[in-house]
Amino acid sequence: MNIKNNIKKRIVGKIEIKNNFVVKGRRMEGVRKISSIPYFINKHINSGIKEFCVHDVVASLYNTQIDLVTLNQTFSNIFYPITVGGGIHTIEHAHNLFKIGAEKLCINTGFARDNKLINKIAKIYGSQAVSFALDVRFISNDFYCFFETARETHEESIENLIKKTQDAGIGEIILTSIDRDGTNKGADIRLIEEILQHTSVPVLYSGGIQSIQDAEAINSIYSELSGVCVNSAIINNL
Amino acid sequence: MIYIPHLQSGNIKSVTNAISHMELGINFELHKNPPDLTRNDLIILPGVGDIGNFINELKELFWYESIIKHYKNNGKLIGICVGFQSFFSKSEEDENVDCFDFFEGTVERMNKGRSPVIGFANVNNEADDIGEFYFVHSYGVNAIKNSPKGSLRYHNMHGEYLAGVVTKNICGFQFHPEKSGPAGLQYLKNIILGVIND
Repeated sequence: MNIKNNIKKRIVGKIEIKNNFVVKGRRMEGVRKISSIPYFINKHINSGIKEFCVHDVVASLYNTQIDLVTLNQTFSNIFYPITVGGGIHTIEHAHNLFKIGAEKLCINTGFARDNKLINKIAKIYGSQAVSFALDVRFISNDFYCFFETARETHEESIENLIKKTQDAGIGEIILTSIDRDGTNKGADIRLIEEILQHTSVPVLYSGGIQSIQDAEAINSIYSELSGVCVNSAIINNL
Repeated sequence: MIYIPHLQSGNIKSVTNAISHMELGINFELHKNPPDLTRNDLIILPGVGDIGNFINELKELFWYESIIKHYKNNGKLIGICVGFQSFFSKSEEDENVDCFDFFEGTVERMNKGRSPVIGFANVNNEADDIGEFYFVHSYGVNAIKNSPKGSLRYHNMHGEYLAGVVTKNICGFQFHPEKSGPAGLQYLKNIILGVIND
């Protein structure tokens, strides 16, 4: 059956930050400084990007919190949806971020530490306000899920982790291939296909996307995929 | 004057950021409890999250009765997302909740594919394409079953749904004009000015 669907495939700008500066690592290691946050976001907007995910890449690792003052400035000037991730471990962190205008929160380490956290946020703010950051690496013939910036492994298998987080009330999965992160090597097709099979919520793919054209190509191949994140694709053209 | 109920649930800040930015020339205030309202005041009702929580919070803060009174007095109202959904007769998200019943129709769970629906989509009124706006919702009003006067519509993978309703003094939007970039802000500004100057 051919259903008319006007919802456009998404291309989301992933903004990785550390100490209020845009940074980029490779396979979630060894970040280098890129630019200021407003400059980077404007580069995205000029490329036609209308949705963002701002992620503090060291907050969970160092047990710090994403800087609310900087985010507040961003939210006051950017009138597009912005998901925030990194170091969100308690419902109080979540309240603070929604209070300043976050559209959605992205959780990973927070769930590993408190498996009620997603449920608590979804109950108040709705499922559409919580995403799960599924960071995956392929090791000797199997996929493993990581947290704390790819330093720690979730106990659950990929299937069980998806089931548990969907049951807890997430409204989206932001899937990252750690192997492809920051490599410009193209999307991990095998990983996308695997995850689409196990999910009932929208899935955004991130990792290795080379250009906006590459993102559009992945979007058109996988009709079930909600969208693709770009990051190095924009950095390459700064 | 524009009044916005100061609720915990809801994207109050993104709406107030947008209104501050659009240079309306009209003051707005956030209120925990409803002020005395006149017919010319506009209440903007943003909302995200669970509709049961949303209506309960409005009741606890005495806004619920105040909004009904304002409506009956032909006052001006704009609802966004769950705020818009609350204007219908009932919602499957919480069968026991008292929606406002300003528009006939039921808010239904969209379950024909992946949910929530997330992304930008083109929206039409009875005659034209009015632009591209950002949607994020798991519940919606089916546009085939319910079609209030002034309906805006769009298609997602679950079928044809109401994107909004625009009338002289009461408007509602399933999409988020405040998160739909400069074109979204301009649209919301025109709507607010149209409603206020009616």
